[in-house]
Amino acid sequence: MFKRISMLVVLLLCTLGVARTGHAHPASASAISLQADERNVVLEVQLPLDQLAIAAPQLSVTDGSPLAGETLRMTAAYLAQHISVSSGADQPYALSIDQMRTAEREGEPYLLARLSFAAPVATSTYVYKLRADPVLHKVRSHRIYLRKTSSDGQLQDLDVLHFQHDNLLITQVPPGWGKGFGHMLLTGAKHIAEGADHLLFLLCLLISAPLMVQAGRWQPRAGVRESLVRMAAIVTAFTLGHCTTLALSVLTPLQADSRTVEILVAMSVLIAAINLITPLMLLDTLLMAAGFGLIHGVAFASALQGFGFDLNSRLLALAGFNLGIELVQLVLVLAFLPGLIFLSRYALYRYVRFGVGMVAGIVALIWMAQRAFDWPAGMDIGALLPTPELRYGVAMLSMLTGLGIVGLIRQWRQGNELKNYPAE
Amino acid sequence: MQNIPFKRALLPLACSLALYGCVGDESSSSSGGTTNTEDVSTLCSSSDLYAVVCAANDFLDTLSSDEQVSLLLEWTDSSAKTVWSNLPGVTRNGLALGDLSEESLAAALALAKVALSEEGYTDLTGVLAADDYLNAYGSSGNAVAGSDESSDSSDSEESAESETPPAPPEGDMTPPDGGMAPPDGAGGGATNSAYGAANYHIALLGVPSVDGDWMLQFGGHHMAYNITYRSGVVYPVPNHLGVEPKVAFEQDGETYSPMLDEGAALVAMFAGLDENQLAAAYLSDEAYADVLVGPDNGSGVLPTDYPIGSNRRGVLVSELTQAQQALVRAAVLQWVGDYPASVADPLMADYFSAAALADTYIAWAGTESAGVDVDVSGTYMRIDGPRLWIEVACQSGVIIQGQTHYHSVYRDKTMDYGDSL
Repeated sequence: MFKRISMLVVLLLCTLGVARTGHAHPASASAISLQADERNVVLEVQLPLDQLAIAAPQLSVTDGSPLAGETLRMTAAYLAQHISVSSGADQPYALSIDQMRTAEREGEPYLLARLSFAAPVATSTYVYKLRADPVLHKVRSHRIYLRKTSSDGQLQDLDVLHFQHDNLLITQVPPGWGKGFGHMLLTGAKHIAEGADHLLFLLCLLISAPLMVQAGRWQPRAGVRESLVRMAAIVTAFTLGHCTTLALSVLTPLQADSRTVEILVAMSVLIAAINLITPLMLLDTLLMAAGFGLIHGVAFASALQGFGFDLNSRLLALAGFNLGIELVQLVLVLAFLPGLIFLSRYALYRYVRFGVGMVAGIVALIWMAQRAFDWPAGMDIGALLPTPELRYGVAMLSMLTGLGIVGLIRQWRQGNELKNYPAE
Repeated sequence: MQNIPFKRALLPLACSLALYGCVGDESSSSSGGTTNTEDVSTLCSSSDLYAVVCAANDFLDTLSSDEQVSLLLEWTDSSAKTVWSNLPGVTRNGLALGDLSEESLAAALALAKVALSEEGYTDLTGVLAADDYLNAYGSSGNAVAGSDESSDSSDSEESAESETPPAPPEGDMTPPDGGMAPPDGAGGGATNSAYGAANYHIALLGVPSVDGDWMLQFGGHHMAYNITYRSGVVYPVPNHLGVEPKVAFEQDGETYSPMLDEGAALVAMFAGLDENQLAAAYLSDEAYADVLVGPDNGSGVLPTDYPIGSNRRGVLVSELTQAQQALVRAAVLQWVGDYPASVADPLMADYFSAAALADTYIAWAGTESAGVDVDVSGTYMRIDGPRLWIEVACQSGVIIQGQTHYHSVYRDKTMDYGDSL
């Protein structure tokens, strides 16, 4: 096994080595990189001029002379003849050539072209077929290296087209509705589970749930039922808020500036933290949950960008993604709830409330500074918070949850009547 | 998985056991199961296969245990089996000849000598000499006009000569070219060139034995011997040979011309065709900048680009006259005959069976008006049978400009790597 891995590493290095040495002499291979959005497949095509001259001498594309007139027309026709995109059911995409020129790449002359292929009406780029044999139709020893720009902007090697292998079926997401939905569900769950800012915001709200404001100060609520109702109300408000903007962002062309959104998210954590330390009379927690939920929804939506879906697959992705978020949220609420309610019966709770509020506030301030001014540079609080510290937190809360359940059962047996513990 | 380093450390021991175990078997009837030096030397000369296993063990015996670990790879490693390239300066399996002691180097060459025929060994030493020649040529101020690099710029030029994955189009995330990767295995000396016999590698995959599964790799720039031994049957493919310069040259006082015969035999084969046959053998609308089924580059799988169906074109050998067929045979022997007769004869018999010839095409491509002229860049010749696959491409010179040079490949469509991937 080690051997195999090291061989792969060696091969990778080897490939890099070869790729990097490719200068000062005609490189004989072509390259096509693909990028697809919802309606279009865009190809960046790079053909070595010396090989093109063998394959299509009639084009007389030469280095240094601008593509114009008849050469331009014939070269465009050549590209259209030898590169095409169609739907999975072989319906052709409409080609427009955005750009075509010659340029040197590492000292060698290439024809560079950007081709846009528009999907036919009522089809999606979910699955499409690329057929490409420029140069290859004649120069049988030719290779065309295919690369794909994924949704996160990374280039990845896709395939190498060669003789008797000049087309490829490309799927945008794991095939199958069920698989696609499951994939998005996991993406959603992962997104919130790793999104420290969302979690911290929710935690701040939940800690206040077993409490109520009396004379400008936090006081414990009278009953468990009230705390439960309050918690459900907070979670529902937050969910309604983020669902609204998540759906709007995904289903309409509205775009928000992600930097601004990220700063606002950090600010929401700060306000929730301050609210925890001392209740903000102007903002009811429910209103805060719903209002800031709107902002968090826009932030969630950023994770759904660039998936290149049509309306149907977008809706399905949205549903899967949202369900993933809600499931994780529900699990967290269920894990925290009994522990929080249990703890809230004791005077100790105010230290929990105050401590979480202080930490969340400081972290939120750092986030805001980072997101607004990129300072301190390179520091990633988000990466520190969720793991492994959060795991310890979850473990402790799970223990509290157990204790809480035992405590609540005992109280319920004592006739649903809770003693009023003296507070602040 | 098992503890591979431990297994590897045991391999040399196993190698010796594999041979001596066989010695015991052979001699048990005649000398009562005892083994002595005389028996071994008798046995080692008893067949080509024994000679190869003996030479492999002799070579192993000259190596330190660290070197043995580097030399020996797992027989089951399909990726490693397919690690070979026409290029200089890429990573190869095993040990570099330049890193071997004088004794080990002699033993490595002795192993190659018995694994090949006399003609084959002459080709091997010729290609090694050609690389030393290129190394000297490149660093003696004969570098390509327009090149502003010193001797190791030749590395980049040669690398780019073939199937170099090009840099991605602009506008992507790839960082700009930071310069050339250093050539591999050159030992970091002052003249750190990717060229020269010192950069050629030898490797063994599996334990050499007369009845087990193992493989000998010997290769470098313009050379790849991948000789697979499976249960005593030898599969000498895929085999890549190339040479620059393709004409005779002098190196260290000797004259070499390793692929002169190969080229001449193929040219003679086409020269033996009449005008109509030559036209029918011409692959119109096809061009070859290199061989079609080239290096496997560690893919771990058999190639998929052999022409199939109507893409198999040319003139059928079965439709040629006896004299013309004899020229085809002579050309094929230039590659298959590079191995001992015990390896080559059964292969030749299969490649030239009546059934095989009725499915074997000879074809050429290039500039039709120039004819089959190996001095013209782009001239391409091939023999395409049900199993047999021989290709020669004539490319522009890389170091020595104004001349073409050869790339050739000999493959067996069904038995490359002994069909062990």
